Amino acid sequence: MSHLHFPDGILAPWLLTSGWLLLAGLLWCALRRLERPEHLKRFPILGTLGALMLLGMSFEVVPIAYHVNISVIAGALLGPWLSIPAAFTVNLVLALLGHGGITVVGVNSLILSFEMIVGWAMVSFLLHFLREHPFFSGFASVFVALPLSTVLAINIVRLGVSDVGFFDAVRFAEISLALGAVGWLLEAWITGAILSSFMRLKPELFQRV
Amino acid sequence: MDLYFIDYFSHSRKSALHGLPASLKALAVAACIAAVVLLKNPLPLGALLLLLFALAVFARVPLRVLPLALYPLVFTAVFLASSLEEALHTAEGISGSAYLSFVAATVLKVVVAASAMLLFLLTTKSTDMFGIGQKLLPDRLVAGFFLMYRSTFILSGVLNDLLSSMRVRGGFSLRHPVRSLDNLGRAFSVMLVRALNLAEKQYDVLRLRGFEGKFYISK
Repeated sequence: MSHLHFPDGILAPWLLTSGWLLLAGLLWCALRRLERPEHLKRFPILGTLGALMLLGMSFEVVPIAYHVNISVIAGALLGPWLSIPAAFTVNLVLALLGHGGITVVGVNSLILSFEMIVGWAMVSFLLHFLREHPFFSGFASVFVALPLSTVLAINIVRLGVSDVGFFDAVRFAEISLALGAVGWLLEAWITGAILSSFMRLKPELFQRV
Repeated sequence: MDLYFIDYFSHSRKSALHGLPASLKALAVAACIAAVVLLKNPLPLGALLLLLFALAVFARVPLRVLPLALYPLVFTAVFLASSLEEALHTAEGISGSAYLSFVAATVLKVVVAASAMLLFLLTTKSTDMFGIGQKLLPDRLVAGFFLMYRSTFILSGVLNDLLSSMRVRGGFSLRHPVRSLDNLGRAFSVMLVRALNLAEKQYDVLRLRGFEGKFYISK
């Protein structure tokens, strides 16, 4: 689960504010790091991969709720520091389109950044040892990154659902994990296929790992 | 996610809403969001929704964007399903006014927030929105956002053609799910290569035109 499709007004204000403050701090660090002239050429890559993530989210593999994410692949190509602004810009566009509240963008961006960074770490690690098996590397990376981000999202919701008297956090976790598992399988297969095909087309892009 | 239509509508249609300053509309949206966050009673939220609907009719927004405003309800259903069992344990049960009020307020919050954002998007040119963004966000972030927005349209055309050719050749069929997922992965890997090539060309063109990390928005 890359982002919470929660509207405004459900999560506690302290959580949303904390999310925005933490995101602002991370964005400041990321942009400071990327201020050097040699990093300027990476911004168009941020733009195009962010666009691809958005387009993937508009393509429903199983209507209505399951769509392609490619957050793990995007994270692997962007690296950890560029993943943070990419996650923010993607979530901002989604919020403008009504997919999730604008006040939840901070929390959503943190969750998506986490997913992309874990995906980057897993793809880097697995391709280092299993370069001849890119499908498995992609598949396994998603099956680590997405469940972890779903658990993070569930815990954030559990902490932040304020004076909502009827909310059952355990039930929410059960439903999210059950529905999420189907999405993880679809995403893992597609990511494995993408990585497998991409390594045949442009293997040099993963040369550094 | 019909960005083509939204962009076309915001740039080419004329109405009183389209003519209002972007900053004023942004403040109005902020007020709507504040109302969504603070209000728990469904009645004022319902009144706010009616107001937004009236503004949409006034701006001649077509009905095709209605699903965009209702789409977030799919995921709100998960949240409401989590509350259903808890409600059954209360004295009133799910037929009690407290729970019904809670469901109504939640649904209205979703639809009001989504409608406000969509109305803003549909009646404000993208360049005006980037102008607001430059006042609030760092220049490089706005530059990345602008490049993403622009790339979405370019890559969308490529993706549509690729998926159409896949469908025509039977590469995407519910009868062969594994093969379909493999083909979808291959299609997206081609898209990745295109995206990276596009990024390289964009960088070369921008550098030739003196890009230093900031776009200048003129009035």
